[in-house]
Amino acid sequence: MGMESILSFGRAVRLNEEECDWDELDRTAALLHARLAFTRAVLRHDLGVRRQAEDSVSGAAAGLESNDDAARGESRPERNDENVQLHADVHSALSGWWAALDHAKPLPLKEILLHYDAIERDRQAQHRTGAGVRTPRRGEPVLHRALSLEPELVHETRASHLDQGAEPPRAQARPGTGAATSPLRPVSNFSVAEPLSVVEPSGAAPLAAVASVPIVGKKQSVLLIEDRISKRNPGESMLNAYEKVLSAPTVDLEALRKLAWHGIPLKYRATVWKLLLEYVPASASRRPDVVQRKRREYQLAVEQHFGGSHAHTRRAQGILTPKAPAARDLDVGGAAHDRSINGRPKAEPLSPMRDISNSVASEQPNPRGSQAGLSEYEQSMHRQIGLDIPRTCPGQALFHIESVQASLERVLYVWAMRHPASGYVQGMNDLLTPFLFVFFAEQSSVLESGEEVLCWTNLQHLSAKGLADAEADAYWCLTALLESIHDYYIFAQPGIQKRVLMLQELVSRVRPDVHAHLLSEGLDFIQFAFRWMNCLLMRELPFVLIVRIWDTYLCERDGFGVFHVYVCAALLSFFHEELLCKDFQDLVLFLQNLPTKSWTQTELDMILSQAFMWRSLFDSSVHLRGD
Amino acid sequence: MAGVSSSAPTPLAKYKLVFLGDQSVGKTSIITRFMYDKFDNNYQATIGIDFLSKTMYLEDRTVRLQLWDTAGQERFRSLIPSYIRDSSVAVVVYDVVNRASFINTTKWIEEVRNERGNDVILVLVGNKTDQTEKRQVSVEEGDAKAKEHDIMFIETSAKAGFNVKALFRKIAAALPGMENSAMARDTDLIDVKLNASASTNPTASQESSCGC
Repeated sequence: MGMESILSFGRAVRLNEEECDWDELDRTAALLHARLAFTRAVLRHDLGVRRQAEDSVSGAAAGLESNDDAARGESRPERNDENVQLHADVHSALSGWWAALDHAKPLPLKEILLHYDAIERDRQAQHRTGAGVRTPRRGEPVLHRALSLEPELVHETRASHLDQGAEPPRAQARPGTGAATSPLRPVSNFSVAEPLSVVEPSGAAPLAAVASVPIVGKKQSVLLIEDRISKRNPGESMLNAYEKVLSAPTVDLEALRKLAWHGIPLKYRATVWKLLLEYVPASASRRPDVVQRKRREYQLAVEQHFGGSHAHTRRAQGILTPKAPAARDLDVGGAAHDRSINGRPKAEPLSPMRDISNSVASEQPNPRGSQAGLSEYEQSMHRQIGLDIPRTCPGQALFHIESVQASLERVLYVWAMRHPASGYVQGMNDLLTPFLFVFFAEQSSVLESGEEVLCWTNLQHLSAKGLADAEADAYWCLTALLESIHDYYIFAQPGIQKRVLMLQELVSRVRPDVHAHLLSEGLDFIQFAFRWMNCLLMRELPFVLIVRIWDTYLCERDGFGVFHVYVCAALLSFFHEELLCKDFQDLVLFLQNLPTKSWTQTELDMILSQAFMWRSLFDSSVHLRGD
Repeated sequence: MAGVSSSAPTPLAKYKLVFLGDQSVGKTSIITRFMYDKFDNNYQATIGIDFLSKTMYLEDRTVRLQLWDTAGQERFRSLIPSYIRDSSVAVVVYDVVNRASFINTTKWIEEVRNERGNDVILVLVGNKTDQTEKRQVSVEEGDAKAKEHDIMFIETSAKAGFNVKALFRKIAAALPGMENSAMARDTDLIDVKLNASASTNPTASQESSCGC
């Protein structure tokens, strides 16, 4: 029945090709196509029905293509009354098909199309890598699965690309893309694999390294896997590789990402983070100037808000006193434009090139009392940040040091003043700690392990300039990080909502059992995953592993946004056995307190590899790309 | 929701409690004191909503309390209404050394009333009574506000462990009075035996700051 409907629809469209309303048909075709895909989605867990649906779809696609050929070869029939009849056919065909789908939950077109995209990719991935990929054997180490998968992907993809000769990859099905493409293209395209798109790592380092080899044979695959594994244990050659990349006149960021994906050696971490966050320019000759200017800019901002260059040492009653914006008000040429009518600063991304030196007129003594003269917004931010400083990373001695807490406060307050659209949101204090940790450690003359640095109880071994520089660096890096996830913290936090939905969708595909179980227990993903997004798992994983995971995030495209969601999915998958046997109450408690305290690099590598593999498989689907 | 354990000899009545109030007034501390009888000066700020569960053994029955601990910061407020809708008890907490947090309780009480009408047990809690010297809100003010809104009132110190158990006993005592409430109708929940002696007006029948 479905197939007949499609065939009659196709025929009707073809016969009316020259006179019909293309936009209308385009939409209709896209709708029909999406409906087909959606049916597949609905039925995909029922193998028998699913087969049938697939047969029906590919049959339909074949039918349409042959019909297409036939239409080209034959002369067109006269169009007169027939048109009316054919249009009616289109409608009846569609309504018949839709009636058959009545049991399916109706979804907005956009959502249907998202389903379609996902399924299409899924199907192509299956086609290319064999069924084993989608249903990996239980208990098989994740890492090995991921590693053994990649060369296969590349091999087959390359081959299929070559097979296609000069034919470019076909356009993805989209509704209403205009009359230039046949409205039936989406349907006929259904069985055509799209080369490259599935495995294209789009900047992801590990695959890029493999993919640069034109055709990868079995033997070569093994070598590449070994190569990749060796990168996990950086030895002399690894350090040399970093030296080489970092000492170049212009750092090759791609090469750097390939190295850093696997974890950055302590010695280079601070440098590499600054480069990958683009706080520091890749060009060595520009670097000193830019860094100096930015550190100065931050310093000025601190003076502007806290008054005086001695803010670093000024700390009354455990909390700093921000200065009223007197200096800014006095300055007519510089900062006046920063402030909107109601006296609040405007939302403005702090451009790295922006020079605010003009905006601080002079260093004036602050004549007013501690809170006097501060706007309501300023007071509120000051109070909220102040409440959270003492309870930031309570488990680590480093963050109980008074001067470290003062740094935390200054960075967060300056950031909040410059980003009033979100202001300070709880959790940002967590996100700042890895930067302070890494940059303070950088200023130390002795190379110490992360655990050692976390146990510091004072910063006396660091110079005053070193402290100020580390704080400024942390500010700029936090700014860059928050910029990449800015919609996480604005009103109603839409970015987080979106990512939680994406996580849910992803889990429904990679671990349908877990997904179904959580839902059947009445657990909403938002109930546990909200914090996973808001604090980027900082409450879920040991601190040193967070620092390590950020190495990889910095190398992935939209690492803190999209890749992070894959990591969250991998985390759920890692614990699937525990999750599947728990009821609602135990589920929430378990997910709020994941047993990761004793985790090491080994577990994290499994999570990252799994996340990487899934991203490689699904990322090109519009649906899970998260744009 | 999780079904009631079928292996239990008598089914447990389950109640949902939501904790509301400004940032850093001590919601998490009160819950932690109740759950584990301990206190820490430096709990990390609650992000979103945290969940805890505790079984309470009362004289005539056993109840399971499901506690939803909300984040106090304004930015997270959009998450909270659905928890208010689901809860049979709302505990609105303020900090007796922070007047602003006391003023803001009105907003919370009204929000709960808007969502649930009178179909809810509301408790106003003034926390941090151990900081006697810094106190900005007197016990009389708290009591007056509670009377004004016809809700229960108690002062606590999670740090000192003062009145926290009393708070939960007070709540538990009020629970059977929820006859014909949405909670009792909820198919997920076992029918609660109604205790005729339970007061229908808990505020009037119980002293504030009760030390039971």
